[in-house]
Amino acid sequence: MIERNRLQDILELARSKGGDFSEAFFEEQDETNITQTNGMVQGVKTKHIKGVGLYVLAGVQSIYLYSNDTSEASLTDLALRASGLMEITLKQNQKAGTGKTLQEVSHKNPNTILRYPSTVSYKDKIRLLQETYETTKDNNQLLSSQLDYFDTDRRILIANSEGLYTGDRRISSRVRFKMVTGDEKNSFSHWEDYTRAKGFEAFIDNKEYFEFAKNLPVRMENMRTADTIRPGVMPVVLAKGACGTLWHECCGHTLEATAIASKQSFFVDKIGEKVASDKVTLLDDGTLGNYYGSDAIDDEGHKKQRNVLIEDGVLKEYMCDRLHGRMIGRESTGNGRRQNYTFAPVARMTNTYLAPGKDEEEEMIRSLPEGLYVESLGGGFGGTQFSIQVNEGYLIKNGQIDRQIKGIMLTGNGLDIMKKVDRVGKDLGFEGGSFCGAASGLVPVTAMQPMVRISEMSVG
Amino acid sequence: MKEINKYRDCLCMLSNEYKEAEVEAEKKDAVCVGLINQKPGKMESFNKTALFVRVSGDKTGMVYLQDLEKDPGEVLREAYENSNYVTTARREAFQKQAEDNFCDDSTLEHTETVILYNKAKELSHEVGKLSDQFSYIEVKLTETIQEYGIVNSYGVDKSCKKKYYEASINLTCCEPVHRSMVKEITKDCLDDIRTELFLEEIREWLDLPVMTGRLTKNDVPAVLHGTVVCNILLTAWQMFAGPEYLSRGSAFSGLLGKKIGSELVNLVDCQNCEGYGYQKDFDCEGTKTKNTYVIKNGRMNGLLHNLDSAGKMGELATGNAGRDVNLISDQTQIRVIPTNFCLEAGDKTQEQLLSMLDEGIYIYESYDMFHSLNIASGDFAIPCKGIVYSKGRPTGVVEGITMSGNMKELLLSIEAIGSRMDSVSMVMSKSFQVLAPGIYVNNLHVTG
Repeated sequence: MIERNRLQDILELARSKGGDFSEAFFEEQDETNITQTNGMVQGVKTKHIKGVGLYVLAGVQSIYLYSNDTSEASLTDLALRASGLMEITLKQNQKAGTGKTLQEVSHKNPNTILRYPSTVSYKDKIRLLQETYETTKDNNQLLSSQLDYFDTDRRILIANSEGLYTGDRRISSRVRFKMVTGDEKNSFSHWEDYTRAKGFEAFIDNKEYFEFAKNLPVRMENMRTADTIRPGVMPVVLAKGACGTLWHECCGHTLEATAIASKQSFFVDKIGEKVASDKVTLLDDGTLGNYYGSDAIDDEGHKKQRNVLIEDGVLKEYMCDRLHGRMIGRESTGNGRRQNYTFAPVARMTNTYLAPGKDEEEEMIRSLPEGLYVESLGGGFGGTQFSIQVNEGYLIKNGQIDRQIKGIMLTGNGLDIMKKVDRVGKDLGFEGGSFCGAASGLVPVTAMQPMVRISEMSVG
Repeated sequence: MKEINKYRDCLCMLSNEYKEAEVEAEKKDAVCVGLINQKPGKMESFNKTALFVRVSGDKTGMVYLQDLEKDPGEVLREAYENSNYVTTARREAFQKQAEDNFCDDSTLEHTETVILYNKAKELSHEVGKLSDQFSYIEVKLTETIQEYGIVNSYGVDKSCKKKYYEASINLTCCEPVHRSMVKEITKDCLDDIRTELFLEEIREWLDLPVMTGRLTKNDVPAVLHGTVVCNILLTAWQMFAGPEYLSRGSAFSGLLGKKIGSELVNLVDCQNCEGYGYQKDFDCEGTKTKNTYVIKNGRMNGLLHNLDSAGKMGELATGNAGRDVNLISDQTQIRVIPTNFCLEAGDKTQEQLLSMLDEGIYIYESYDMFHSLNIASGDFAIPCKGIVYSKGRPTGVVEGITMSGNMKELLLSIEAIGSRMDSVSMVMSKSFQVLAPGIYVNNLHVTG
């Protein structure tokens, strides 16, 4: 690792042609992946990621450079490239001020790790997959099963020209289930992850995990054989917990400073204005203990924080990284995130959730003559128009949950949907986590909500 | 490639425990210049090399690394030890054909950054002149020098270098209605990044009607814009991947040789064609690349194969072994991947396609390409925007709609294909692109 005083020199060199800020982001990551196909271990792979990103800002102009070579010579080359790029684009060669001396700062990661992946043998990890397969293999409709075990140990170090010198260690564990179910004529392919911001303890004696595994092919068969419906507009009740994806897609992305700066959001210049139903209080909180979107710091070294984005329907805050915060005249909110050193940080969600309300869950369905009840959502797409795949949906008839339906998407305009929230339950529920893919790669997130009812929504 | 030189000795003198070993290297060195609203925006520059090391004893283990300083012997040992836990019946397939070895020792230099910047600036300026309605214009131009090589214990020793360009324009208008568009192209020559390639479509986009329309019928003839077809192909290409076909994970499993599309449909993966930005001489297993028609004149003609899937089907590998298959794929798994997956152009101009619509809909934008198509069943439900046509004239825009159906029906319902190609690169990884013109289909189910 490069010495701190030399690093400081390189940060100065990177800014030397007019940058007002520079940052070095070092990363090392070890990952294990074990693939089991139909009960046989098909592959054991280890992955070692190592590299550095150098970031230079001059007002709202940015330069991002990276390399897998973290030597001093490579960093010096990156810094020279940065100053060269700055020289081309800055009309006047501005004199950079002197950066501050690097001072180490540390923050505690809110995720507690009991069994670090590196301390667990491959045999134990393979045994986990074997036990998992045993719980699913007797299902007659299971045509093929691929289980992928992943664990990740990621260490980052950030130093910048404001004198910050800090780091974080991030551990997570995940099993990906990719299955095909069906019969000779019709098959159905589906995957889901069981993810935790934990070490190997995420799986040990965990009945919930094995129940998840056992139920997946059953749930898939129900999804495959469910009825179809004629699409239309109807009231929609979404279950508590992971159906919080609704918030991630319908307004989360448009609350990121990246969308605000590029005017690709309906929230531009709306701070302080009513944008949603009174029942909507939306937060993004990267400090929650043992949540997939939590870390000690964001990927720019800011301590993670709890941000109230919408309160009682009124827009309060955007999620900001340093650069896009500058573009819209706001401070970072600890949301500067990136998949790894090959991406410049941009504003991204962490753990996004709708705050609990006061409504009774049972009444939300009972009071509807007809509608849709969504038990689980798949992936989606966010923006001014959003869409989310419904994995498990049921018709509501005369206040009762009726038959399961398939092949539907929830679509709409986020601003419109937020105004149509007419019930919010009392219990938030939980989500293990998933990846969100956007400008700075795949980042770990969660999205949660209490049971929610939307008075009217397009079901396509 | 110098990055794998130090592994050569180890591969020549493998330890007795190792039956075979292979090192593949992928290196990218790139410069990206960007402008936002005609001013300097986001610039990037990087160099990254990754090594993929496979070693087989009785089975095969793998290590991925970016730390080039690691001792080669230790890396091979780690891969070998990983192999000891594998319980499948056989080793992974390795390329054993060494007769087409070649070493690309050409020198590729980056263009002066100021030239790239001025090119992007000119593009930004020309686009800006098209309208005063733009509230955001972002232009990016990237020059990448990609170098890749593979060496294995069977004597395979190849390396190759390519230089290519990616240009993208991201536009937002706030007036008279809020809307955005992205247009991107890739080329293998900087001079081919021409402003007019962007302007025609941006003008068309600016001319789209803004008044709100109403969907009165759900099953109608439709024209799909080229980018809408590209968004479908971004997922649908997997239905033609050998491993998916074999595992019954494709709705086209068992249909090789059968008619699955209208006679106008030709789907091909072009891996090494002049003009395209993305090109490969060999895949990540060292197999020489080729162009593979998966549909020829409407019949299912072939599959994209790596060594494993080709071996299982008794066919030859097509040079499609790759890693960055989709958003969620893991880089350490060799799977099947296209390079330039292309619906071949037809003979209709955009105007001619639209003139075929009497009562119908023009789908000009779609989103969420990754969650809206199930490759095993072929079912799709794709959120989109369209313009309703009545008596041959546009009557209004419909948003928040969904087009749904099955890929088998969609391919059979194509009655005309446009002549202008659009392209969309794989999000984030930029590991391949899909290309397609607009199409006219005789029936599409649209709701919303």
